[in-house]
Amino acid sequence: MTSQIPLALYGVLNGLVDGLILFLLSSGLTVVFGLLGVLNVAHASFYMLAAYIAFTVVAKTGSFWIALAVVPAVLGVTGWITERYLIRRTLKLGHGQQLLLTLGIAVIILNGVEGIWGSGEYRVPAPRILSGVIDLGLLHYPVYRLCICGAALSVLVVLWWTLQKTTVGMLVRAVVSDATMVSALGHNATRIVSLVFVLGAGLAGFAGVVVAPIATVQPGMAGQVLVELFIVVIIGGLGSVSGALIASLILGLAQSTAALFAGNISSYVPYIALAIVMLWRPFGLFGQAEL
Amino acid sequence: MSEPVLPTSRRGVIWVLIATIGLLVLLPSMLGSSLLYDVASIAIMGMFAVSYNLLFGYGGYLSFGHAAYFGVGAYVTALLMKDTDWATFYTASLLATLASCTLGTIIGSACVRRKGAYFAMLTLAYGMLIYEFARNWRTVTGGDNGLGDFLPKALAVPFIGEVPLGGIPGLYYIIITIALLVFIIAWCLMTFTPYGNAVKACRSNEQRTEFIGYNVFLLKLTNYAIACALAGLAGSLFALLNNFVSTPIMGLDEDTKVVMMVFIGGTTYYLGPIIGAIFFIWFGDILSSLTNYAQLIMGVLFVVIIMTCPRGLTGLLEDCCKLLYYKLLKVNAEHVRRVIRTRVSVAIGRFL
Repeated sequence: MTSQIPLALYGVLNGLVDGLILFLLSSGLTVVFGLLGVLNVAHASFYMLAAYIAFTVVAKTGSFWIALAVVPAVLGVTGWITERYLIRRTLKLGHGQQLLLTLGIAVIILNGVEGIWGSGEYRVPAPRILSGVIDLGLLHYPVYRLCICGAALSVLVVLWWTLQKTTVGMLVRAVVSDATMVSALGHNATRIVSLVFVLGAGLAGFAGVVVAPIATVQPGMAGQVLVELFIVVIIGGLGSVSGALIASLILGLAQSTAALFAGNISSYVPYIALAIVMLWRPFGLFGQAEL
Repeated sequence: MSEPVLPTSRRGVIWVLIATIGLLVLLPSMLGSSLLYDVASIAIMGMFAVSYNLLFGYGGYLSFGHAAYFGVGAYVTALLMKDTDWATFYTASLLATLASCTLGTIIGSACVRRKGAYFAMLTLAYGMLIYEFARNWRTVTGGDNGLGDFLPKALAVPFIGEVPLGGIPGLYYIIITIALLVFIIAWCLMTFTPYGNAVKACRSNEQRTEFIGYNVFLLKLTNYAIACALAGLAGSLFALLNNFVSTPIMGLDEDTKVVMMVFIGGTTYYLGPIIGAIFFIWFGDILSSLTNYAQLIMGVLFVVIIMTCPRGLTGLLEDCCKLLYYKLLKVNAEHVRRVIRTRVSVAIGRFL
């Protein structure tokens, strides 16, 4: 039994890393949904694109840190273009059409990526300083994964602080609840929406870069993450950031624990979690019934 | 001046139908076998797309997991014909349709309570669950390698006799016949029956439909189940045409493909998805023979169509037909021209 404890701890840590990365993605998705009412199917594609760009940047410059600095900015610009020139122009068409529009963007990104990088798998080396393992007493754990954990947690704290304590965050929350009123009070609601979209895309970019060294970079990663993201936001309730956090962590932990102790069913864990939550709370943990 | 309406009549519809059937009967003597294969694929994908449009065009529900039922239909057909002695293609196909329908009822009862984005996400999640299941159950489904060679040499067709399944003309006629029958039956179901009207009513105002006394949940579930059954039948025909099934036919790519097909074709027309399928397969073939970026171009085209003409290619076609019609009859076409001009300028305006 004693040998099970380090293994379990290993699983918990892995689950934490996966859950936090899922949260980096789902937070952007869920806030954009709250603001625009648009489910951005291309969100997972942004993440994939970021991983590919990170691969190229690391291969060309040899430095992971340059990739970490550049790629989120590039994805932010991509997000800005998407919002400014595609989504904002189709406000009149309704949310269904906008959802389809983002699906089209996802198709374009997927095929663009396959066209540029091919359909092979790539690996990105972790930065040398962070490549070892660390002795945690009970087990040895890769330093890089711990760093992801730390980075994601700090992003989370900054995000929470910005949303809850600053004027900009207050405006974002106000736009979520009533955009017309915010405009009537003299604030530029459109710009706030744009800002949030860019931030969401940037976060997806960040997630893509930090994930690249611990995952294989391949065209299937967008679809895989998309399904997990959808499950997270259904479980958490669309539009709820705290719901997304809890659901991400639950999903990450459940999946990594299942992968350790029951390998063959681990790919079904998200769906089982989804089915249980749907039976127990049909509108998600923090969702509202009228959605 | 009100918008001019193309004169349509029941007789016109029947003539068009007869002409189409005549053309389809004569096609094998005009086309080579690879083109005939394309036509049969179009019929199958068109059926799949029409089943999708029962959900979106008539019910107003955007689904992302429809390919799972197509795959289930294909797999049930393939497995029954490979592993059992008693199953002919007809029984296998019928059971495949029933299996998809049952699965659709179970999953639908979890999904149709929700609308819009939630429905899309739920259907995708459950669709991917079925996909994962099929992929991991390698001993039965063959995983990504798939199953092949399950068809017998010939199939007994009533009134005709044994039709060899190896050659394309025989297969082509069987598939085209079934597909045409399904197209007509589904159209009649949605156009002439109280059920079709109730589904459409449900799309435009769910609450009122409920107040009239319809069981809205049951209505939506039935619609979902019928759409799934048709997708399963299309999958079954797919297995018949290709004599091969593998898990990618129920994956995310296939989901995206059917959505693109339906929306490129136009969701507000019954024939829209079929025109979408014709365009997608035919134009896609041409594109991929020219460039490696065929799918990318399709994606761009999809985005352009979503942004500029929500009625799809069929809508464009209708506008062109109107213009031509009024030109031929020398009726004042100024109005139609104006409509098209505004549409074009709105379309351009959206991009600039």
